[in-house]
Amino acid sequence: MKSWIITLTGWMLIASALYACVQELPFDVKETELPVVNCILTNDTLQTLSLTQSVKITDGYAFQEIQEARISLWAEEVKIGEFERKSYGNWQLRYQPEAGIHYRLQVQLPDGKELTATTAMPEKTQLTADREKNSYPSKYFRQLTAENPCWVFILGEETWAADLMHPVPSSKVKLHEIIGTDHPRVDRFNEEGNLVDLVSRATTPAYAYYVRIQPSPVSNEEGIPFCMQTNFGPYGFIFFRTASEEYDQYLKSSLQKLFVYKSEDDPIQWFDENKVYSNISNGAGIFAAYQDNYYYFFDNYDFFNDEYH
Amino acid sequence: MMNTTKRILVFCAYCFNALYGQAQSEDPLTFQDSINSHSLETITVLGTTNVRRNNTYSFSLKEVKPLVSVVGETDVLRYIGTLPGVSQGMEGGLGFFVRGSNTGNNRIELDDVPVYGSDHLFGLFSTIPSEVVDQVTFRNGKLPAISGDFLSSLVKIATIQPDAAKYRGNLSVSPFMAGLSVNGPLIKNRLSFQAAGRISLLRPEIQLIKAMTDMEGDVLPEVADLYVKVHYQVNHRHAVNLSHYYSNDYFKYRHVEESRLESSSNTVEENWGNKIVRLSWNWKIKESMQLNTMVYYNYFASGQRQRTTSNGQQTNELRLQTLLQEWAAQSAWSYRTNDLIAGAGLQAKSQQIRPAAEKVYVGEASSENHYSFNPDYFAKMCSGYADLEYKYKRFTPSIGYRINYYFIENQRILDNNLRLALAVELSKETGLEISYDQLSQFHHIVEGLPTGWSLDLILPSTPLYKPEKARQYYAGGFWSNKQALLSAGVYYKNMDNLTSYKNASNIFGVQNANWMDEVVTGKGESYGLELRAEKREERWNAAASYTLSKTDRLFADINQDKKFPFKFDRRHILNLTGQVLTRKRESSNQQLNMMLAFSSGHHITLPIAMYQGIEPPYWRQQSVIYVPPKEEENALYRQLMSGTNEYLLPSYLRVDISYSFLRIGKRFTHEFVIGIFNVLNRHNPYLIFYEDDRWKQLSIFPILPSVKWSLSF
Repeated sequence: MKSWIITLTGWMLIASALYACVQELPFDVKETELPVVNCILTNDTLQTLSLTQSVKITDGYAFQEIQEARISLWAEEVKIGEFERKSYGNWQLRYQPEAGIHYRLQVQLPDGKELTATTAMPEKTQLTADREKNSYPSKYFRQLTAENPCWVFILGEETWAADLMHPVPSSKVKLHEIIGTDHPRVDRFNEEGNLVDLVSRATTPAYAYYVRIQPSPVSNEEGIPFCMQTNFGPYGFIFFRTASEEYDQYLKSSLQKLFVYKSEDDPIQWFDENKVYSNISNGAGIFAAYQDNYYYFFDNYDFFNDEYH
Repeated sequence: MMNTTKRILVFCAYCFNALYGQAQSEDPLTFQDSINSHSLETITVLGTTNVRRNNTYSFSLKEVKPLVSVVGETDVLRYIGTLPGVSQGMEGGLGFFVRGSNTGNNRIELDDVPVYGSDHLFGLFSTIPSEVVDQVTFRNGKLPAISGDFLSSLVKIATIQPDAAKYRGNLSVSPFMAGLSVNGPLIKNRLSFQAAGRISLLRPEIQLIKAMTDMEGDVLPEVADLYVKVHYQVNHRHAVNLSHYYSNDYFKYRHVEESRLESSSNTVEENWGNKIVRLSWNWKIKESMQLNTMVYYNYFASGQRQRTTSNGQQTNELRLQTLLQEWAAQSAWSYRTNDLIAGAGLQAKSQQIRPAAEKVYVGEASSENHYSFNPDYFAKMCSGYADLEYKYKRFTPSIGYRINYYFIENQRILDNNLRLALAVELSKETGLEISYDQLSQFHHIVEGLPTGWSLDLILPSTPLYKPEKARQYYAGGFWSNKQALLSAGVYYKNMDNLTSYKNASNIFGVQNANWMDEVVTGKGESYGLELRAEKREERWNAAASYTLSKTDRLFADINQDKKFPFKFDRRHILNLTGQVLTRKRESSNQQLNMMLAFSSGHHITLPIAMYQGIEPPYWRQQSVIYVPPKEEENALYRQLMSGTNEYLLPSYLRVDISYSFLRIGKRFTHEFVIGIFNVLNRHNPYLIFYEDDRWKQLSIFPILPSVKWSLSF
């Protein structure tokens, strides 16, 4: 009797180790193909748009373009113009959006389907640089307006000649992977430990790639003081991207998905997947807007380059 | 003759208490004192009769023992899953969803004290040692006003009264757990005690397996619970109870990767548990009237820690912690005669809640820098209630009223709950019942996780996250006699201010520290039909429960603000249980137990297409040489997801069998139970995902045998 119980117990333990099994499942997922339009209005004079078709999960990433379409941009219900197809899947419209204006995108397809979405061009976030306070690894600012969410990121290059980077970032400039801030309205969704573990003398939490500053009322004239920290090199840019509500949701949800499903070995991938924000009716994609201003630094001499963009 | 009278008296008192007055009674066995006061010299409780009605099901260990659990442990909460109106969560787990509510909307009370973390081993079995349980009463409607701060069902677990005359005990061993319980007198007929505890055997077993095999990694699970009670019978009118309840789960996984250049390790630890201390005083003012006063301290904490090291140096540490502490006092007065039952009382409690996702980083260079951004919340609540039930001929109307005054962060919320019911006796064996319940819950356990274990985020009600509210309507009827029961009823329930994660997966992401952005509030609606049939014979009994129901949710920012099915909205749920006494002797019994569980599959959200995305700013200009493919894919492309919970998984079917051998000796009783969970070895899909160009399913439990031996004296 005793040996029988021991045998049974041992067998049960082995059986327990076989918990959780994965096997193929013939499952009928009603995969779908939808027209996809991506258009982000910027404070540039040329607006671009992509119009493609989605693919099934079981297919690769070869997105077919939609060649025939009538794509119009409307400002406060007044037609601004129509996008023209320039290359495979890419369309352009020469126009510079104005801050505070509501825009509507209308895509009419030959089959009668109509895709629409709306957005508003945000007012640029007003900032001042407190240059005199700067010391490695911190650069100081005051945020004077904060009606819209603002995304901050830092580009830099240690060996590239500054004049080749300026006034716009060249393709050689690198995106800093970890940056820090002490801004009181920072969104902690992408927080990654302490910056001091990577950057000596840093005092702030670390964030992956981007810092999202949430909108808030600015009650005093002096604004919200804050610093940005990273392992600054001799040359670089600090970008402040003021986002429309749509761009903000799109970028945040994209990054959340990116961060959560980093590894293919991670069992998190088995849980219900995150949804990335989309505001395109009858299709997928995004129609949104942002305005950039950036702070250029070169050795110890800093510029606040609002006028360049 | 005298014995028979006593038995009937006990039986009647118990039924009366369990059916009507249970809410007012501190302990279902306090009627024993009442009988004692009638000058009966001694009394022996010969058994309890369980109440079976449309909204109330009470059961004892006898009903629970035949059910097979994954780990072979007798589990009083598992029985709830077999009752009508209850939808199962994760396979094998204890997450139960009653009439469309979330699992965190149930209130589980151990001797009237709420237990916030009732699961061991990620929900595989409950933290309540079965040996201390006398009776469990599950109510999903016609709820007494004495209990509040919940939105769904009320599970009242009453512990046994320690034997005041002689010692009793039980020792049990299964491959996963070992348990010991003892109760008996310290001072005969005056001071008695009870102690019961269990501890997991998994840790030494895994170490043994590791020593015998080349198993990689390091897994250390620890599970323990303890219940201790001292009962002091001051005299026939006064009794005092002091009890302590403790449970702890600890799980550690360590993975080491070694190469010629580097040795790195990743350690994940999970820890959660309860501590409850309770002191009660029972004053029997007169035979029909008593006053129960209680104070308790309740502590629940759940934590997670992740540490990474490289070449022996700690590189980072992440901690997440949820904490709930509660101090409470309450006094309940009750009065009962043949026709009238009345109760009233006051309750006050103070809570400290620390929502999950507190993050503390301890990096190598920042060992002095601790970040703790989420503040604690301090809430206070005062409640008053009154219950009244009056039997007039064939009609028994009842009314309950509860008023809650809740304070948090200089905000005050006044809340009222009304509960109405009417029972109509059509004949000796048949009756009708209608009820209306208003319910409020002042803490949120955020839904959206597919699991239902105790790591869920607990939030206090605040002006931003208002108290959850529900209104429930029920109408049904029953027919019953000594051997059989048939009951049927329909319900409709709507719920407000529910909370959910927008994207539940984000809570697993280590970057996510700010729960407020992830939690949204919304509404829920559920309606359905519930049927129950039971048949009891001398050598066999069987029961069947069937539920036909529909449950939806509507949340801002989820599913484009459109209504969607609740994750565990199972259209059909059928549970069959049966026991056959195959051998009955004076000194031994053998019994065959069976259970069949069938339900519609649960709902999931799936990716249904891929499309071109807009990459994050300057994404391609990173200085790192290697970006993991999955990260790169999500930066450049987007998945088009189905509607929330749009897909229904295949139906769930499971059959469990167990066989028990009982040998009754002069001094000891031995019981040996062999069970097989999922005897059909059906791989029920828990979730499906797309990998390696094909759809795959993850099943949690294949066929799983269990064994348990116990000795009682």
